[in-house]
Amino acid sequence: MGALLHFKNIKKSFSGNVVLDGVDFAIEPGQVVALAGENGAGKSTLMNILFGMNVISETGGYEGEIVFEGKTVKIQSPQDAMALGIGMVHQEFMLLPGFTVARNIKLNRENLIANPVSKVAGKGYQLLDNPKIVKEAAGTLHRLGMEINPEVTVDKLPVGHMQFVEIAREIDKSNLKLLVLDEPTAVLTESEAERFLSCIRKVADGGIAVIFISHRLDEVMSLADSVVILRDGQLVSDEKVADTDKHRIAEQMVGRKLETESLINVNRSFKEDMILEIEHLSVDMPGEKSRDVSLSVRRGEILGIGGLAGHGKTSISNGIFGMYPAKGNVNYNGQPLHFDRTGEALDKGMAFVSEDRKGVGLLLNESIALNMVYTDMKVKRHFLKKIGFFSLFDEKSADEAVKRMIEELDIRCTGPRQLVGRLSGGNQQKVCMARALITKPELLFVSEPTRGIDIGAKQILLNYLVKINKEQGITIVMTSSELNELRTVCDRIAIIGSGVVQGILPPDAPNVDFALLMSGEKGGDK
Amino acid sequence: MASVKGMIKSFGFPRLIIMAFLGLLIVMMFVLHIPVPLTFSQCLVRIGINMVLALAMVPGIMAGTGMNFALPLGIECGLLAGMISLQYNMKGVGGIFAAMLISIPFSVVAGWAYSQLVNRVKGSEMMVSTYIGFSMVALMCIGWLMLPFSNASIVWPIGDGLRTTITLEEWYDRALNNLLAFHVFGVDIPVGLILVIGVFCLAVWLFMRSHLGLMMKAAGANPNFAKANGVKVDSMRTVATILSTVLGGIGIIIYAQGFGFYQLYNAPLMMAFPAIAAVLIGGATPSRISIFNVVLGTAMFQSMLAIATPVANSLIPEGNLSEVVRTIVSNGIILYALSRMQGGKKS
Amino acid sequence: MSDEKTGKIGVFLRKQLINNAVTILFFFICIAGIILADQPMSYIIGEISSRLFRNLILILALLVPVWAGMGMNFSIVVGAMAAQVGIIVSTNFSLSGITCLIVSFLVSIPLSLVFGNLTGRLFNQTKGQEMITGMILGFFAKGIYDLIFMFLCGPVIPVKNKALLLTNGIGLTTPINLDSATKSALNKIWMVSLDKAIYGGLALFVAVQAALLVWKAWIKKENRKGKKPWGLILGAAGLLAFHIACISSEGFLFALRFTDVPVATGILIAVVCVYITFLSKTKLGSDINAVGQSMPIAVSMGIPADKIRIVAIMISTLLAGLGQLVFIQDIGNFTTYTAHENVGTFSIAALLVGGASIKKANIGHAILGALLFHTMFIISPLAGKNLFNNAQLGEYFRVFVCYAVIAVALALHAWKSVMAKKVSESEGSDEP
Repeated sequence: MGALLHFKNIKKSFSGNVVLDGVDFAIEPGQVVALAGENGAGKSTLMNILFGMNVISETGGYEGEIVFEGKTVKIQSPQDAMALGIGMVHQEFMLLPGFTVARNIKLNRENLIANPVSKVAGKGYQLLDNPKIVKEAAGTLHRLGMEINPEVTVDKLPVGHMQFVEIAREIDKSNLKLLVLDEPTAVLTESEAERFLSCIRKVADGGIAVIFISHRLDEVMSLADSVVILRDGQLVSDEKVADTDKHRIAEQMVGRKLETESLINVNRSFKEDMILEIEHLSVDMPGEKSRDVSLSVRRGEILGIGGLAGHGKTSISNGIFGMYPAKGNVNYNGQPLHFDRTGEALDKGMAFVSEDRKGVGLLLNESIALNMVYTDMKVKRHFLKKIGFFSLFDEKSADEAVKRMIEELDIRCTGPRQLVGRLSGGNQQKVCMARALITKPELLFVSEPTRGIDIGAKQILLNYLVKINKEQGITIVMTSSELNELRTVCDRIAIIGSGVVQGILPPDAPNVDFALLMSGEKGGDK
Repeated sequence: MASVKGMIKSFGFPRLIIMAFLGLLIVMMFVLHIPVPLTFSQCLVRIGINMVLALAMVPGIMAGTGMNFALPLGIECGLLAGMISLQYNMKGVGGIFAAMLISIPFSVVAGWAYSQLVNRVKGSEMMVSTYIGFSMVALMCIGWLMLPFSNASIVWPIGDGLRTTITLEEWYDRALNNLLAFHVFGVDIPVGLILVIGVFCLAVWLFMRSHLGLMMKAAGANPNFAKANGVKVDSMRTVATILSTVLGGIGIIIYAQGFGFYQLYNAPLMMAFPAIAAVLIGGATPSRISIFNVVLGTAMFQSMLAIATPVANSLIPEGNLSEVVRTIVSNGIILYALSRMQGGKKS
Repeated sequence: MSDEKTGKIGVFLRKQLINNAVTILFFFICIAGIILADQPMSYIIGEISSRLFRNLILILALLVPVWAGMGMNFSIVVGAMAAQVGIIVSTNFSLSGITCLIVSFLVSIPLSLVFGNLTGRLFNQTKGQEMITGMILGFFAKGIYDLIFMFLCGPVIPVKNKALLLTNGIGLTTPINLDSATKSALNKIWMVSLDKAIYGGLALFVAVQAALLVWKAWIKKENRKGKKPWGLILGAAGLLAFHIACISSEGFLFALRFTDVPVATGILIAVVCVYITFLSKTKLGSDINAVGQSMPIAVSMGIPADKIRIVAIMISTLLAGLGQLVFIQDIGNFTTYTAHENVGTFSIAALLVGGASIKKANIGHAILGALLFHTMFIISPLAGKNLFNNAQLGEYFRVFVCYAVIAVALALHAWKSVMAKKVSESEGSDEP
């Protein structure tokens, strides 16, 4: 049997940043292929290429070819993909809440009845054939082994059922040959997930190929025929599930053996003097919820927080800085911290570099100078001069501090007056960092400091973090999706999974330990 | 060529049309032998008396509540204060300042109450505020009928309530305009008015650069940034709404003294629109504004109207052509700004 | 168990009370107003009935954009202008009677469609701010309209009928009067007293329902087990109730007999209602609803959302033109430069009073809203006069109520959607 789909040597880079580097694998009809890898390994870019999303063509297209049913295809838009018979079930639900299940399944493929009006006024006026829509939708649901009443509106459906409706919609398309599932079980309960998996099996047994993206290794093992692992844009393994096991997959996902000499902060010793104690913190951050985090930070250390996307690692700093509603106890220097009050953490002497540089970190239409001193001006009322009733922002006095930071962090700009929006990503990140440091914090939270910036700027930033930690004694809590980055600079690394601390490891712990904590395999016995 | 195109783009196509139209009007003025000094004097007065109303747009746009379509709310507060000043026969320049002071507490209370609503309808501020403004005007119509004013010069001789139009001759008609005024080449320079306007512009300019102003600016430009830096976004929006309402109240008093009348009942209904149009013509957007935008925009828009009136009248004596021009230009520019708003979001 | 049940009923009732607060409040305002106004029933019923027939199509014109998620279409003002242009054109050619109305409508069709198309395109540029855009567009269009008819008609645009022009030959006179044959030409085709009209209407409704039932049961062999024929039952009950009311109250019957209703206009309204109902069951209607629920999802399923939105506004503008035409023929004249000004505000306020929201509106809301809103409109000056000896007060009050209703409805909706967003953000991946 020939391959249904063959990715041939796919390469893709975003402005010089290589995200896919020669990915090459094939899927046969009726086969379930699990696609695994850390965040940023290139899975979603690969899927964007498969669906002809705009982001790909806007950034210069890709190299290599996609062979579908023996022919090389150029997929320019999601419509092209649909026409070929490629369907996708997204992580977020693409269902109309006010429409019935049947109407959602048949959306824009409704069964219609011509009538006198439609003959004059056009096809738009053809009547919906509701009984037929319901009947066909019920049939499709039945094929999936799901007994959902097709005449219920979707908003009255339990969340767990919605995923099935999405699948039914794809299956209902008569030409469907390949189905892509992007972390479909993330919102399902355990029993629902089980039913879901058997439902997917049925789909595959009907001759439809399935690409299954999941972080849950148990599911991968039980459902998939083979597993493809991406790491840093490269294909590291393409094996039959029968020939591999969980530990091996986990290790391959994290991969990359680090040279021990590149780990900077191994075996530094600290007194048990806690600068920050977090107890049972839960933060209601959309898409990054944490449920029950207890964690202590020792004075003077660099603590890393790692974990997969969507498991809540970034919510911890956001919760402490009041960006999202949070519950729990946080003690700072032994004093309780009222993190629900806006600005409380800043007033107490902490500082925060957000993971969302453009959304939270910067005022893009303002100058470098204002961006850098903003927090200090707001919180400590520095850089102000009094004129009448007004405390005016004093640009001149700010300039000195700003120029020093520009030099120290090697920010490439025309001067303190340049608008931040004009800077490159790396330089913008440095501005964010500078703003936090100008407040002379005792404890610094840094989230994803190297996301989307070039390798040179990355190194400068990491080195600078180590430097201020050593020279100025600033305690640092660094959140990052890049495990190796954490291991390079941190004293300890806490791995967050499913909204709780799965475990804390030293930077020189073996790869496989990190991988297993990340995929939640040790969740029970921590 | 490319740079010219870029300049046109950054300057904005409609602004260019309005500039050209203004130029055409000025040429017409000479062609039709319309007395230039008189028209110019009127320009100055119109610019002056409308400036504070346009300034009222600044805090709202800074804090991200957008263009304050609820300006009539502030205007009603100002009118109420004005009526009180007339009731107790406060005269001259002092009367004007007294009216301004009296308006402030009303505006603060009204602005605060209104801000509580604004903070609950984020994203739909413009539509809700338009109708809040309209409702307040209608409610105050009832107010003008029922409130216990008794000064014979301001209430109807027969029947209930205040008069529709109250001439200010007895109190402070053009008192600010005439303060320190002098003639140059036949043009009246309303020094007092210019000074007062200057003070207000300077105060708002300073405010925009102050600690509070920068906090407000952050709340408007990027609420998440503001929150991460300990700025209470809702409080900033509240302060901005109150400030805008206060400026609206003061604005109408300055407007009325320069105009010579207080107009009650339905007159304030549409008063937000010229103010909004003016700042937009000056180059402001629903999310970004500077004092320069306010001054330039008010100057352009009001001179256009001031010159259009005599030009139109000498062309077509009947009908109110300049009123029609005002409607088209002011609403056209607002439509343009609205359509650009989305364009900005997309990119 | 029963406690729980009553609790549930309580919650349900409270929810209904909150959701329909505006309608219920209005109901009481109207009742209080009727008592205070102290007018003969025949006067009130007559006024309400004539206003209902006059305004209903304008209100119905708002429905389709609401389905499309574009909120209240403030730009129906533009459709009203198209109708006025139609009348001006046919008056210019000295047409009269029903011909005048038909020609006016024919002239207004292409205009409304073009205006609607342009409006739709503009709305696609201002997604999420359609209502404010529509309102400002109405003001802008008024400026253009004034420019054309106040200054260009005569000097630039030739006007054949000199009676239309002002004495100096520049601009149209105001108001423009329809001649006696054209005034109420549609209404005059067939007038019936209200009691007969209601009997007839209800009987027709029952007959249609019965016929539908028969058609479904015999011809389509649809299984109707467990489904009660609610339409038939309601119709029959209404007929019975009305009959009892007529027998028991002499005054009521007298008031009804005193009032004549225009059957042809009624039929036209019914046709519009049928069209809207039909539309909701078609592919186009389904697409409009899908776009209204979520534009991104509709687009991802291949529904051309932008196009659908334009079509929705075109339908609305066209119906608004028809509505304004019916309105003007009923009155018999229109103030040339202001007749369209309040069309949007009043129709929208009426629809909202009927219990519609920015997201949901149906024919029932339109009819109920028209009834309540116009009752308030007639009553409040009279009530004001009786209460405070000042009719002006009542007039200001009704203007206030009109604006306030829209403000409150918009604010409530905005508030609800902000709250809903907060709730849905905090949901998501909750623990199992």
